[in-house]
Amino acid sequence: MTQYIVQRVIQTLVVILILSVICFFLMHLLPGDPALSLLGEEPTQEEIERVRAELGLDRPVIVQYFSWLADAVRGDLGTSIKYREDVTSLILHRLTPTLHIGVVSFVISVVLGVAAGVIASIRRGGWLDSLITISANLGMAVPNFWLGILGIYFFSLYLGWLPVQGYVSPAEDFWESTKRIIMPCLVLGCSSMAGLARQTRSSMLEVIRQDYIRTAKAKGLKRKVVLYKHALKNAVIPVITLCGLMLPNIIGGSVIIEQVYNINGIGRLMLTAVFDRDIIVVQGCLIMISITVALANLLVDISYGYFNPRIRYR
Amino acid sequence: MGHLLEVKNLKTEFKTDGHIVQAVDGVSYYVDEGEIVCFVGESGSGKSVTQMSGLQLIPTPPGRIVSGEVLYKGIDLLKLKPESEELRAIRGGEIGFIFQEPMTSLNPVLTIGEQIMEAVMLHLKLNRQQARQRAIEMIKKVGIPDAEVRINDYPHQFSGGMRQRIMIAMALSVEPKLLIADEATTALDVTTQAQILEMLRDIVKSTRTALIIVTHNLGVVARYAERIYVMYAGTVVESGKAEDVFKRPRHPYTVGLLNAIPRLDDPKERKLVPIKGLPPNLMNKPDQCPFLPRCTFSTEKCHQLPAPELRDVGNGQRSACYVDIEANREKANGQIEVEYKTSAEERKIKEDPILKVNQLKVYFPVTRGWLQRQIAEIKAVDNVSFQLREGETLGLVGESGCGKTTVARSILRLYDITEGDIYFRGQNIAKLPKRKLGNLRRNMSMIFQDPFSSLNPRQRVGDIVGEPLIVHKLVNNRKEYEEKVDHLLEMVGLDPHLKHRVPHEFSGGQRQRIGIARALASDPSLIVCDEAISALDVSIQAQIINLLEDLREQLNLSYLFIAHDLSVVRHISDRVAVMYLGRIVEMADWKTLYENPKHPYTQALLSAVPIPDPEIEKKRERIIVKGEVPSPLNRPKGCSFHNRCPMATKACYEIDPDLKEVEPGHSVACLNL
Amino acid sequence: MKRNKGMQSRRWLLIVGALALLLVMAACNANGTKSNDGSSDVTDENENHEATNEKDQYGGVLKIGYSTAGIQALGLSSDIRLIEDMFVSSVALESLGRYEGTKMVPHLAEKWEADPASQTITYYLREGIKFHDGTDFNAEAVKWNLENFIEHRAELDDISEITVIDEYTLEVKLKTWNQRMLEEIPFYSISSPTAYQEMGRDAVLMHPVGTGPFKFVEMSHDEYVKFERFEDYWQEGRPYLDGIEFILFADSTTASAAMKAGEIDIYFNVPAIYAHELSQLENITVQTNETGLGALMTGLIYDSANPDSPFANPKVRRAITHAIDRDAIVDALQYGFSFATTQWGSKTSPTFNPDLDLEYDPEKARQLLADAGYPNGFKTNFVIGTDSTNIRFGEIIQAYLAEVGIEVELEMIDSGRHQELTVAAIGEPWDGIIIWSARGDYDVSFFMPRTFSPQGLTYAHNLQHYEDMQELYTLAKTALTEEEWIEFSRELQRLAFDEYAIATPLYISTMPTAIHKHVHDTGINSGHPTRFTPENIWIEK
Repeated sequence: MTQYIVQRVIQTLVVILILSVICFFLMHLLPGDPALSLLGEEPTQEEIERVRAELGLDRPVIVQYFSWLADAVRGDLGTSIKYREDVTSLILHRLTPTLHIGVVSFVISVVLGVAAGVIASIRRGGWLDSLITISANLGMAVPNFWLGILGIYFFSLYLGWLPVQGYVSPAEDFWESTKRIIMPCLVLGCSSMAGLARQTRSSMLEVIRQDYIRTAKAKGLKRKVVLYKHALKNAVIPVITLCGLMLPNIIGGSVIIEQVYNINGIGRLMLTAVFDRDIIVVQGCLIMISITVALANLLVDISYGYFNPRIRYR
Repeated sequence: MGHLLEVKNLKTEFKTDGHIVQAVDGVSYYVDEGEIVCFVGESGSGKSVTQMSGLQLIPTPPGRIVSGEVLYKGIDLLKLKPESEELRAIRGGEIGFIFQEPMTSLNPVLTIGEQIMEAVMLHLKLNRQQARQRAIEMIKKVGIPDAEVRINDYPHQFSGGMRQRIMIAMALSVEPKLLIADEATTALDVTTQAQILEMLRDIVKSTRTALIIVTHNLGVVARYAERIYVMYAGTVVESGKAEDVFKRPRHPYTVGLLNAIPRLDDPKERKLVPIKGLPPNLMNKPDQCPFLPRCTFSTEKCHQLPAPELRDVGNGQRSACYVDIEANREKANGQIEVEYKTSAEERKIKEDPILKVNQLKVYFPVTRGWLQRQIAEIKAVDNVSFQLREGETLGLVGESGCGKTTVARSILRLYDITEGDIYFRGQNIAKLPKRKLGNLRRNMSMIFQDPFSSLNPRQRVGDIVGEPLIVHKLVNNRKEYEEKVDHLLEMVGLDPHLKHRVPHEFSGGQRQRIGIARALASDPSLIVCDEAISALDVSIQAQIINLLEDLREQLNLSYLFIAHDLSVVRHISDRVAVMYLGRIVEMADWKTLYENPKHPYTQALLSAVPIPDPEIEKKRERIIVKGEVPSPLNRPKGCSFHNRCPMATKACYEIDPDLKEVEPGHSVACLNL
Repeated sequence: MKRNKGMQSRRWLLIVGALALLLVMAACNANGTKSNDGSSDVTDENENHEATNEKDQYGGVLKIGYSTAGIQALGLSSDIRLIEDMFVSSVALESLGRYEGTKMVPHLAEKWEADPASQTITYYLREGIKFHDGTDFNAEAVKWNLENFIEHRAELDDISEITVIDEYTLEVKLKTWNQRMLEEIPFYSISSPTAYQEMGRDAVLMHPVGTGPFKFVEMSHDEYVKFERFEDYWQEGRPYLDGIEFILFADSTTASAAMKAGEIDIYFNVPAIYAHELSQLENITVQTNETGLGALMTGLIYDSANPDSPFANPKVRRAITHAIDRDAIVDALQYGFSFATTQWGSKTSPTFNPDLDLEYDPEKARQLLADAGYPNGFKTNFVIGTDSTNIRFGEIIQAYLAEVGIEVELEMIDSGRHQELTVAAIGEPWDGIIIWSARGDYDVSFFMPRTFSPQGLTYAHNLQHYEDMQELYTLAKTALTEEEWIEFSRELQRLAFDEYAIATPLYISTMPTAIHKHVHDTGINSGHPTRFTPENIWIEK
């Protein structure tokens, strides 16, 4: 296990390094100048040069990259060009809402998605199955932002049940916080939920055909026991793999969700940083996202071992 | 009070692609307490579906139980709802089931203890602690050591044989009145099969549990059955006491089956009598005797009358046939019209070897981690030497994992050879560079086990067979090519007009014929048959064996014949080598090996093979070898068989015996000779 | 068991049916124009609220939503460049003067006296005013602020010397007389110099300490800025509110939904389409600014400096002025939340030259093109942004120019690239036509050179420049009387848009801001759009 974790950490580091190089040089290739976006409408030559010198943007790209890298290795991700704040603390601050919504969304989509998939597989061919399958196909096809806006119109403006926008920390006011994140979570988890429902359904149907299910039935076990104890535990194994694949989806989706629901998370930070050519922040976000995804994948892998004894013992 | 289980006129259908398959068509049978009853038949005969229908275990849809009664202790199980309390109490509680596939019949994510305990808790109403005790007790009873520890293990930590034991433990743990073993030992090696069946019989006899064995293996039937039901095309065609049915089969199909299989006690030169034709299609069956198209006893009457009902033919034996087989007894017992094949002496076996394998070693590295570090080696083949003379057939037998297939593939250079030499017609091909193998592959070809997966499903049959002709540039033009393909198809008994079809339009036996035609295309002198007939049904198997024998004679072929079925190997081989854990432990001409085996493993192996004759079986002495084949990764020190050997001495634990010639042409690797 | 299952199915059907129904209803409502009832605190009789105002409606926190590229600075006028930052900071920072309509009137100053002859302006400050940090607002503080500004910015570079006469009197001496300074100097906000010294420049940028009615509490980038009531505010009895919260929106659809739901009271600088949508609601008014001060002017500008471009010929440029129907564009794209203009500033402003004929006349445009040697038109490029409004704008221009024979290809670029092409200091030329944005203020002698002079900061690098215009800038700037100033300014308008047709103004935003009707006396858009009267705002309960 330890060896495995060490391997994963090294892999993640390599990925981050490659990503950071690609990102850094790509951002430099993009037209646009961070100094300009900082200076507003009518900057003078002097102002531009002063800001560039201040930010070290007058140095060659390679030098800039390695000076950034040297700091990053020491744990200093640099100072944001736009916000003039320490990137580490900026990102940590912004990570909270994203993680909160991401985790809740993940949990909701796993619970609801798997439940829907199981129900559909049990009622195979019935109207409930059709409903779930059609909804799942729709759920995968519908774009997040559209669903988000639809949600606002329906739940906030029409029904008046939920607030339109914003994020409140659960530590501050749990109920208010929950009210605010419930819609972003559902919207963000929608496609994952749909994917999980489909995967669970087909995986359950596959498992139900297996010989050991016949064995379980031949033992005279109740249908429920056969389904939930024998079939589901096997059916979730491919579902877990999908869960792992879902994580980048959720992070990616957060960019749009945070935009629509006006949540000040890392997705939005990264988006504005790209527009403002705030390379330092973009780099920081990438690293943070890579680490989060790697950690989450590690968790998925570990839980994979929990569900699949054949992996555990190897 | 009637029988323990009595089934009357059971009919089960399956709906596939709009057609209705009458899988079980009016089957009636009974089982009494403490009795061992065998259902025998080929694949598709409905023998398994019959058993599962009774307990409503068939998937519905597509399956449907059309009619019939399944009376268990007088209660009609078919009248109970599939999920009802009553049915579930009987299914699993009163009637236990053991399925064919031990590898897939246990839930991979639950410990075996849990899987046994849940049945025990459900049916015996024990609490967890008691259930655990019961599970441990049962695991011990089926011969798994360290039961207390192993109860917490998962199925993948057990071998196939062990898993089947666990299945048995599970089924027996709730003290059922009836146990149904559906092809329970088919997938296992002979020694394991023997161990398990012996154990099963001992247990049911001691608990007076009734046992239904469903199998296609007539030897197993002969060894264990008290009564037999022979099934064909969804119906029972013959039933009766085991001795009677074997001695005086009263249905042409039973007759055919018994004559189609090679037996360990056969005269060597007897030619097998295959049942001609193919099993019937169960879709939209006509009301006619289903065996009629394949029957050699049929009369005019059979064509005019509807399908015959089972009728008493005396002494409790029943047969569904209009013809009086008794009147044709001699023909039925294969005593007239016996064909004899050319004996080995008559065939021209040359003295010089076509193939000489010298100290062959094939090791596979075991790697781990992302750096692919090698942590161990599997010695799949370790120091194997043998010779194959031109025109000779060498049988290579052994249980799964013994390395016989690796030997075969190494000879064709499909695997990399670690060490050793292979001389083909005097040329050492072991170290030949890959690009120079073309010629070699022309002169040697292979017939594979699985006729379903070894043919490209999208290629036309003509192209499959003709491919080697093109690869080796053996034809000059299209016309020649077509002629050659037609000729090859004819040679294996296929209509050349079928060459434009694709493989899935053919039956298993026909596909194996296609495989043989392909192997013959490049006009090779050596053919390696890797379990070439194992996947086929008994009646088809005989056809293919005869074909292989005929071809050998016509084309003067040499065969390296790899199989686990010792009767078949005996039937076809001139000499036989027995492999165990990557080594040859004994090698001799067939007669010596089968009549005077020296190595304890060979003896155990032969003893484990049942002979399809209850009378002989009763008299046979059994050597049941204990344990299972260890993994090649943990080869025991010293003689690798020492931990299972009944004659092992202290020396066996230390010294690894070499293959030594004990008499001319007979080599054995054993210290105790 | 069977019966039970049937019942279950029926229950499910019911739920699904209900859900479907709700969805349909929601969709209808979304399209409909009736007001929503989410904000229940709106009284029905808000028409006559002015009359019933007891002026004692203290309390409440006002929530103002707006969108911005990011908060750059709130605490120092030298660094506050974005109109959004100006708007937000104005609740904490005040300035010497304030616009009422288009007129600059004293605010922190009691009055000022200008002497063009001696090139001085004397400011007399209000006494007894405290900064939020408790220090005094006085002449020294104003001096420090102006000097800091001059150090970082160019707008006040005409100041040569600032002298503190006494604690509350300050004299500003100019290098040459520039009437513009009368509006510029009092416009920039005053922060506490002490706070600057104590907190340092970086911190004070994000922490405004001024004399305004509200004290800065905290801010979070891209999220919010919070202010609370300043108890020692110099105007007696003000402010009414307990605090003001600015909420930043990334998406205008969300902001307008939040406005509808009553989650914010005011939505500042609403994009035209949402201003239109919100203006349909009963409980919301949309305030527009007709002055053109500080507002964004949109037009077209050409690569006239490129001798190979057809736009090197002024006739071609003027042809375009006549080729485009500005009113139609304002209606179609701006829903009336901009006003069309042919010159710099609004038609009602004093510098507007009424003698010019620059109206839509495609016949004339074709004639001009023919005169310029392009009777069959030509092919050119139009550089625009990538968002949907920009693209629609581009397509409309494309259609108008096609009518006079000019074939336009749209080149879409993102905002970063746009900046590179338009900032003169970078000096990268664009090709053909590019979208032109500038401040729509009518004081042409001050604002025009920022684009049209060789020293111009934007677009100037790719434009033809004219000597006579340079002279006129100086003349107008140094004009001693209003008449003179108007005369020179109008002449500049003529040269810039008729004679040389350097660029083509199309419309100026009215900076629409949506306000819930229960919020009173905001002063929003009554003068400069970046300033309002937060001290007077009260919320009706």
